[in-house]
Amino acid sequence: MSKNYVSKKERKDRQFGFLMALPAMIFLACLFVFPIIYSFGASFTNYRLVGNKGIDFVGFKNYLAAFRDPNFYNSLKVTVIITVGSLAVEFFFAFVIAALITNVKRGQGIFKTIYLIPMMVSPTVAGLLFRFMLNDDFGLMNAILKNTGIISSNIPWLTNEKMAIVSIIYVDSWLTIPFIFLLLYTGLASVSEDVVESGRIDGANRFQIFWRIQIPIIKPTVLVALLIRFMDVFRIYDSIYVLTKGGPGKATESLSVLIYRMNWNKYNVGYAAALSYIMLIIMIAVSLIIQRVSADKEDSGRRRRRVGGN
Amino acid sequence: MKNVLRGRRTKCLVASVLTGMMVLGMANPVLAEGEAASEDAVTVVYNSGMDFSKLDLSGVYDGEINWVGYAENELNQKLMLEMTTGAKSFDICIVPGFGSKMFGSLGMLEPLEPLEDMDDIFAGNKNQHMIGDTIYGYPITGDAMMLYINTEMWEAAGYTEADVPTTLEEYREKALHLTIDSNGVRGDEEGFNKDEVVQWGTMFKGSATNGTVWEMATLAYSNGGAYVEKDYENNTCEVVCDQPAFVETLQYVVDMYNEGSIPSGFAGYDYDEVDAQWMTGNIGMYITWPYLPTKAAGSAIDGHIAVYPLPVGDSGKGVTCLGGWAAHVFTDAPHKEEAIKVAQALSSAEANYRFVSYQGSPSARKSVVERLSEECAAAGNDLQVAVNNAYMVSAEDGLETDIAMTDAAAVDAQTTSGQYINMAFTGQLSCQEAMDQLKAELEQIFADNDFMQGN
Repeated sequence: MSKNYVSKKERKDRQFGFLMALPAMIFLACLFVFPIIYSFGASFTNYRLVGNKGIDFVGFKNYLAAFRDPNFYNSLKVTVIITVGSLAVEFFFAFVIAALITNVKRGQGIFKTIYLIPMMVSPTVAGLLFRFMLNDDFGLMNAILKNTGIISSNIPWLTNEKMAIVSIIYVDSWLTIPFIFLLLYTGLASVSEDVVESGRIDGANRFQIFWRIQIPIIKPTVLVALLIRFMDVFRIYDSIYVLTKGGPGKATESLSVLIYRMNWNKYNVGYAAALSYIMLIIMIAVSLIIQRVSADKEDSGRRRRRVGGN
Repeated sequence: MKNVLRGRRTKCLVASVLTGMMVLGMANPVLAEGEAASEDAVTVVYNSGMDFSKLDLSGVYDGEINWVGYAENELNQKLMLEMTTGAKSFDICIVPGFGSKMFGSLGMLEPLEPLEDMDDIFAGNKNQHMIGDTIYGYPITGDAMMLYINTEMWEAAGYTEADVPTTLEEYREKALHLTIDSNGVRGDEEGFNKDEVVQWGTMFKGSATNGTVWEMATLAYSNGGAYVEKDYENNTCEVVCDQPAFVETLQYVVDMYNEGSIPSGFAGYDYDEVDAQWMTGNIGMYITWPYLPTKAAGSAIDGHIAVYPLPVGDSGKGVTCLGGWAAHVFTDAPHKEEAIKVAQALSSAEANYRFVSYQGSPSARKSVVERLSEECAAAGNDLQVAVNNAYMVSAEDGLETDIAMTDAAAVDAQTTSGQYINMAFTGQLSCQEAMDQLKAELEQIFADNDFMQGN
C-alpha cells in the first residue's frame, strides 16, 4: 500500500474541513483583497467624497498630478529624511545596546527588561508624553538643558521646521530601538561561542570579533529588521499626528499625513488613492533594492571565495 | 452505513448553522451591538465632549432618543461617511455652523421651518446655520470671544480697572508691560531679556490647526479684515486674506511674539496647552471663548480672573467670530417627522437652559443667558455674570467665521489657512508671502468645491 494512500473517509473529512473554512477564507479574501482592488480602481477616477458630479475614469491623471504637486515633493522629502534619520539612529543604538548586553554576564535580564519598556508604550501615548516633554516653554527637556547650563535659551523642539523633524526622529527611535535591539540581540546570542572563541584564538580583539564575525553571521537578521523597520517608518503617521500634526506649516507632513489630508480634508479620494499607490511602489522598490544589494554582495562574496578556492 | 449518514448529516447541520450565524453576524453587526437601541427611536449623533446624552428632556420631548456620541475630531468624518454611503443610521446631527453650510449645500440636510421664538436667538447664531434664507439647523449653543485678565499680574503691574485695554494697540502695550523676565525686568523696560521670560503679557493659540484660524478671525474682523468676502446675490466670493487689514493683523501677532509678550512655543500650542499656560497664572491677558473660567476652576488662576468685552480694532469695534452648535435633520432620516420635533425640542428655551446649566456652554438664546445670569448673581458668582455680559455684547456684534462657512470647502479651507498662518508665525514665510500663497490655495479649493463660483 502506498504511503500517500488517503482513505475515502479521510478525503471526505478533508473536504468537509475545507468547506467549513471556506466562508471564513472568502470573508478574509474580501477583507484584504477588496480594499486593494477598490482603492486601485479609485486611483484612476476623479472620485470625491463630496461635491462630486459623478465618478469618471481619468486614466493616469491623478498619478501625473502627484508629480506636479509641490505638496507631494515636500512630503516625500520629509518622509525620506525621517526614514533615513530614524533607521540610522535606531540601528546604531540598537547595535550598541545589543553588543553591550551580550557581553554583560550578570543582571542581563534586568537590562533587557529596562530596554524593552518603550516597546510596550503605544505610539500615541509616547507622542503625547514627548509633546509635553518637548514643550518650548514648560517642557522637561528645555528645563533640564537650561538648568544644566547646556543651553541659554529654549530650543523650539516642535515649532522650528528642522527641530520638529529631529523631534519626530527622536520619538520614533525611542519607541522602536527596543524592537531592533531585541532582533539583533537574539541574533548575536545565537552566534556559537565556538566561532567567537576560534576568532579569539586567531588573535581578533573584541571589536574585530563583533565586526568581522558576529555581524556577518547575523546579517540575515539585520536585513529582516531593516526591511520591517523601513516599511514601518516610511508609513509613519501616529507620532507625527500627535506631536506636530504635520506642522509647523507643512514641515513634518509625511506622505501618510498628506494622504490623510487629501482624503479627509480635500475629500479627493481618487488623488489620495493614487498617492497611496505611489507610496506603495516606492516601498516595494526600496525593499527590493535592499534585498538585491544584500544578495549581490553575498553572491559576489561567495563567487570570489569559489574563484579563490579554485 | 447508517452511522456514516448520521455523521454526514450532523456535519452538514453544524456547517449550515455556523455559516448562517456568520452570514447573519456579518450582515447586521448593529443588531448584535445595539440590543438596547429601539428601532423606532430618533437617533441623534453628537460631539461626545458635549455630553448630550445626560440631557433631561422630560416635558419637552417624551419620546425615545438613541444618543450616539463621537469625539469632535472624528464626528465630521463619521457623518461624511454616513452620508456618502447612504447608511441612514442617523436622524439628527448636532454640528457647528460650518456643518450646516457644508452638509446643507450638499443637499444632505432637511430645510427647516423657523421656530416660533426665533427672535430669542442671537442674530449671528441664527445666520451661521442658514444658507440664504433657508434654515438648516436649530441653534443650541453659541460661542463668542472676550477678554480675560489675570488680576494678580494686572495689579502687580500697577494697573487698575481704568487701564483695561479698549483698543488692540493698548492691548499690545499692556501685554509688553505685563511681560517679565527672570530678573524681574518688564518687557518695556531697559535690559529686558526676551529669552528668559517667566511671565508673559498675553497668549495666542498658534498651531497649524483650525482653532488658530478662528482666533485670527476675531483679531482680523476687529481690524476690518476677513478671509473671504461673499456676495450672496451673485453667488461669488473673493479671497481677501492678502489685503492689508488681514496681513497687518497677522503681523501684529508676530510682533507681539517677537517682542517676547507671547510664549515662544505658541506656534505649536493647541487649546489645551494654551489654556494650561493661562491656568498656571503666568499669562496676563487672553482673548478666548467663554469656557475659560469653568476650566480654570481650582487652578492657580482661580479667583484672579476678570472678564471684559473685546478691545476695539481699526474697524472701530471688537468683533468676534462666532461659534455654536445646532440640531440638523438629515434629508434621508429614517424618522424624519419625529426628528424635526426632536430638533425643535433640543433648541427650545427650556431644553437649552437645562443643557447649558450642566454642560457649561453659552446658550444661543438671549433669554437663557439672562436667566442664568440672574441665578449666578443670586448665588454671588460675579465672574460668571461678567462672562455672560461679555458674551452677550460679543454675540450681538459677532460675525460668522467666514472661512468656516464655505460649504463643502470648509474643512480644507480651514486646515490650509491654519498651515499658512502657522508658517508666518514660525518665520517660514513673511506674513504677506503666507497670505499671498494662502489666497492662491483658497481660490483653488473654492473652485474645486464649486463654492460661490457665480453659477
